[in-house]
Amino acid sequence: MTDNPYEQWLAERRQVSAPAKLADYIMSQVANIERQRRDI
Amino acid sequence: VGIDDRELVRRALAGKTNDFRAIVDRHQLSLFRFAFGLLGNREDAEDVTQEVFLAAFVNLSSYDSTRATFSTWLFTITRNRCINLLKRKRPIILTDPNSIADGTSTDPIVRQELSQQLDCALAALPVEQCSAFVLAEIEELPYAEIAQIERTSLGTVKSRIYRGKQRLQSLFESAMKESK
Repeated sequence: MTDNPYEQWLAERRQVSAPAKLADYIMSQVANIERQRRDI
Repeated sequence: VGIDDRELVRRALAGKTNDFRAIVDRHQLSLFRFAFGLLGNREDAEDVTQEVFLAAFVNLSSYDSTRATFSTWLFTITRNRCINLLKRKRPIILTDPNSIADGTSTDPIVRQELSQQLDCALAALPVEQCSAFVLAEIEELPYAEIAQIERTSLGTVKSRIYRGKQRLQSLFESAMKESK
């Protein structure tokens, strides 16, 4: 790990994680869109 | 593993929703990080990432693999969504360089403050610089792909990244000088 705070900040930014349920939320909305398409 | 994006898109267009899930799983992290870098907060980044995938799903048939990779297409949609949101939310005040915390400190609180101030400084960059900087320095994409996403020349991308880095690094240097 570098001592340079700028490099540390960059490293932290590269390690940002996505919310745990993000993909599930997206896919539930995708399923809604599909249902709407079928209902039309 | 091993199925490329074009094949996943083809399958999703054929109605295989699970293959769209594979697309989401593959790209959600990089798109979220990019949105987070541009927007500066997780809630907005999450909203934009969701919107991007829904827009991609609805408009999947318009994706042209001869013009861009699927990843580039998604980054372009993300960039445009973020810029639209920023236009509604800005102006953001640039942090005074003299108020940046001491960059040499090992105190975790000071470090955290410094990191937050850098986040603010990043958000305060002109949006084109910010976008190119995040794609290059955080997502570590090749400059040629960034030029495609930004719809500009390679030279302009290099210049934006250089200016963004200079700006952020100068904030640190100012802080270090102030502390001596």
